[in-house]
Amino acid sequence: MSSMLAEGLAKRTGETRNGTPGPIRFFRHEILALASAIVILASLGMMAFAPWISPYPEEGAGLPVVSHQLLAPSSVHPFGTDDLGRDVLSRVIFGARVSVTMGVMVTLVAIAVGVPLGAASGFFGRWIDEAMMRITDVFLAFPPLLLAIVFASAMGRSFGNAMLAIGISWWPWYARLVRSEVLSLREQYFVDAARSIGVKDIKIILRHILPNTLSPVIVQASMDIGSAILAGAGLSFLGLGVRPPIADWGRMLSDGRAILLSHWWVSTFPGLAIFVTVLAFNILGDALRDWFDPHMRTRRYVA
Amino acid sequence: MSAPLLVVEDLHVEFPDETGMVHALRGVSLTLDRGEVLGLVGETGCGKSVTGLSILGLVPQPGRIKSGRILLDGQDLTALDEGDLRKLRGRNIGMIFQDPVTSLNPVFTNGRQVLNVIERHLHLGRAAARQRALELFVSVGLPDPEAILEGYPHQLSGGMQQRVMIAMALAAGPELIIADEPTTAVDVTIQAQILDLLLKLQRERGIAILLITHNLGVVAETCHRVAVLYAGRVVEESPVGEFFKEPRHPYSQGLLHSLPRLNQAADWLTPIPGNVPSGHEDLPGCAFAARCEYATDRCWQNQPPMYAAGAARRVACFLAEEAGW
Amino acid sequence: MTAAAQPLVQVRDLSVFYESGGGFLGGSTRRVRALHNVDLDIPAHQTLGLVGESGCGKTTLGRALLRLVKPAGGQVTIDGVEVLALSGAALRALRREMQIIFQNPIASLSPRLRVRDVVAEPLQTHTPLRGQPLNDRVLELLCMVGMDESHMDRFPHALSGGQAQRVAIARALALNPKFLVLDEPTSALDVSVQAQILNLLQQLQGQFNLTYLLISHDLAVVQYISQRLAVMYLGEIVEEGPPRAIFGEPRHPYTQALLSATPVLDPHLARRRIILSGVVPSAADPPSGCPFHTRCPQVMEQCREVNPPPTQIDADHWASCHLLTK
Repeated sequence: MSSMLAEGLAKRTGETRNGTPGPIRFFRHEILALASAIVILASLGMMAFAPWISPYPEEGAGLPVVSHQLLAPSSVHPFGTDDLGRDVLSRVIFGARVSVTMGVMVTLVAIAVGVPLGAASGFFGRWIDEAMMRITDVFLAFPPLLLAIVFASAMGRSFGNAMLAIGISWWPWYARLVRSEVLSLREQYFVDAARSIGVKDIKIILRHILPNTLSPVIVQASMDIGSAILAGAGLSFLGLGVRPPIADWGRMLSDGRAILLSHWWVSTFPGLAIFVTVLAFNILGDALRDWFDPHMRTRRYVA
Repeated sequence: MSAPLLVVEDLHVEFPDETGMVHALRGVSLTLDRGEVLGLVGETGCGKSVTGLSILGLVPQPGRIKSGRILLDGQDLTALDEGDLRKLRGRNIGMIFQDPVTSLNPVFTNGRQVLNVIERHLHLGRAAARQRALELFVSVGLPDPEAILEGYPHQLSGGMQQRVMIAMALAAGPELIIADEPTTAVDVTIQAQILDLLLKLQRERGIAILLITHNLGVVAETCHRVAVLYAGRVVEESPVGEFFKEPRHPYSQGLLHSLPRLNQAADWLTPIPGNVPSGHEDLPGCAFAARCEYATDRCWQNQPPMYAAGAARRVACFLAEEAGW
Repeated sequence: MTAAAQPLVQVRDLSVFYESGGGFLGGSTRRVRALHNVDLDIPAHQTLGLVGESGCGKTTLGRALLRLVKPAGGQVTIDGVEVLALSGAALRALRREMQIIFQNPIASLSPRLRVRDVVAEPLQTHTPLRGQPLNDRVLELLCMVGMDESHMDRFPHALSGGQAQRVAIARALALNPKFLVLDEPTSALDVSVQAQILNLLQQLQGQFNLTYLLISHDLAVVQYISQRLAVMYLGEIVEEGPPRAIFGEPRHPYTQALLSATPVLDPHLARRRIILSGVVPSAADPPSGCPFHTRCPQVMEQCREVNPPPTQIDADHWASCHLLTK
């Protein structure tokens, strides 16, 4: 992921001479892209190395320390402690596991279900398409979070179910996205060429069509990871996600709500973590979109 | 012998792109007399459309005219600002673009497209303006002009849309029309209709036309003179009769020999080897040297100037010195 | 040079309709008559040029022969095999014998595949060739069309139009087909590149005994390379014959108009220009009788009612016009 960014950056820095798109915009782009890359790497790092990098790993995992409840941020506890005396910084670090995993898995589920269905729908058309469209219509009629809540409550409270619930409510977007890409790709000459060679339909979809739908899907997915984190946090906030004492940013936000004015750090830091991570993924999505664009679109001037 | 209507002097236009600076025009010079039809021909990338746009001051950003002059009736267009140029566009210079589908605004009626031009440049009352629009539609051969006036572009065929474009170009009575590939997007029988129409209007109204095209057949049938563009420079300028009978510049010869002809059988066509230069390189010598069978060292090092090659012909080739044209 | 040579491709009574407009919620669908009872013979090892303007059905005909569109009726026989009746594995096997070159060369190559993969695909689909032998065959094909090893790893967008068309030709020849449909192969190319590609196609035809159906709107291109010519209008063939007959003595009024409209590279040639009135009628609502009667300068009463059958003019030249049967 970061190497693609690096490549994209190199493309912009190395090859531009002679006053291309204004210096300010370019600089701003580069800084933001770099910053978001750092944030994402950091959250991945937190996920992987939580027990080693958090100052109080047992507390991060949930061990209450009764004597240290609700301490304000200090040099010993940079983010303070929560109502069970646990170091908030460690909780935030451990929380990354749940939240980022949620974001990534949800998106993967939505893609795994939505992309093949959308591709089949767009490519084969006729009744498959009609059926698919009607099904997605039903799903799309509801606000996605509402659907997720309904599914999650029906399935029972757990991390896995929360992921599934959100994933199930999101696949229709990918299906629609892929379907419309496939509809236009289907008419292209190179697809006709593959048919005239005698390549089987499945192979045409896998080899010729799907790879060309990648860029909008990837862009959408990177932005969705951010939204999925938010959705997961939302479900946890409502008590439908992971069970305590597992650290989860949404849960932590909710738990600190009542004492927000007096003990601001309990909610604020997890909230900030959500904010920064979601923002980073969104910027990644932007950067990816821009990276794909010049590749595809040649700015050729009238000659 | 009156002064020419349009004089382009050593025009240089450049565009930055991802990989550097593209020198789209490297010193284009041409002249157009009143009432004359000049064909500007070349292949993709030669700079013909850029030339047309430069005359109108419509070079797309971030491209720009680096140097050179464009004189319309003695007035230097490169020295004008956008406000003055806008007064000229439509009034003194009309433009016809290649693809009417993208040039006509789909949400305006056909009448509105033309009325916009009329209202901007001629100060006529509503009724008079509408009358003029109707007359224009009749003169461009549109059947049922009243109905078309109220209708929309998408209801018309490609040929009829192009006629509406011609009406727009003529609306304010310009002396010069720049037509950029006006018939490339239409079928050959419609092309014949459009070209005939253009010639008829041109003769009736004494309009000069700069006809930009890649189609040498169209040039042969409609133009008085032809200017051949290669890699941003004019390499040959000549009356059409002489040009087709005896092209002088090696590129012109190459072009004509590589075309299949309707009334001549041929076993093999003779393509021009190599590719058109991309415009990024700075070519010190003749841009065609890499593909020219007559190229000498001198050709690689120095750019040939325009030599006179007959009463009204000019050729940018060192061969002129030896051949005694 | 005439129909005495056994035709490789025989088309009888071919009709193709398109549905256009409409949608799930209804709205009118219009049935567009793209091809109407077309009969055609393409002689083996020769080129038949198919000309006409947009909407005449020439592209549809090429695609129908390759089973890229589904005909509503008729028969197509290629080398004795009834093409329209095949399906499944038999159809896939037949595809080795016939290929198509498209009008937009770069768009006919899959954007994310390298040149080597593009040319390898037919071989991977139909033969057990893999690894080095596959690579060798790909290189061999590329050399045949005037390209070399340095092009193998490029992506289509990095190729010029001419190069992309060469790759498409290499791909088409991979399985040693007998029949090639060339759908406006040079329309999108510059003049100088056009000549290179046309020369290449001619050379390959001689080298591999190929049969071509050349579809084009450019009469000069078609005349240069074809041994037979067919003129189409609104889904029907209106005149057919050898180029010298069609260009020297066109008998159908549409052919005459088409010829007179085609620009010639000779400014001094005095020509009688036949200007057709009106526009091509919509194929969704074709005229009764002769499809050309709405614009024909020599239209008669009969033309509005009866579609003229083909009338023999010469041994190998015929046209569908009532004027010929008077």
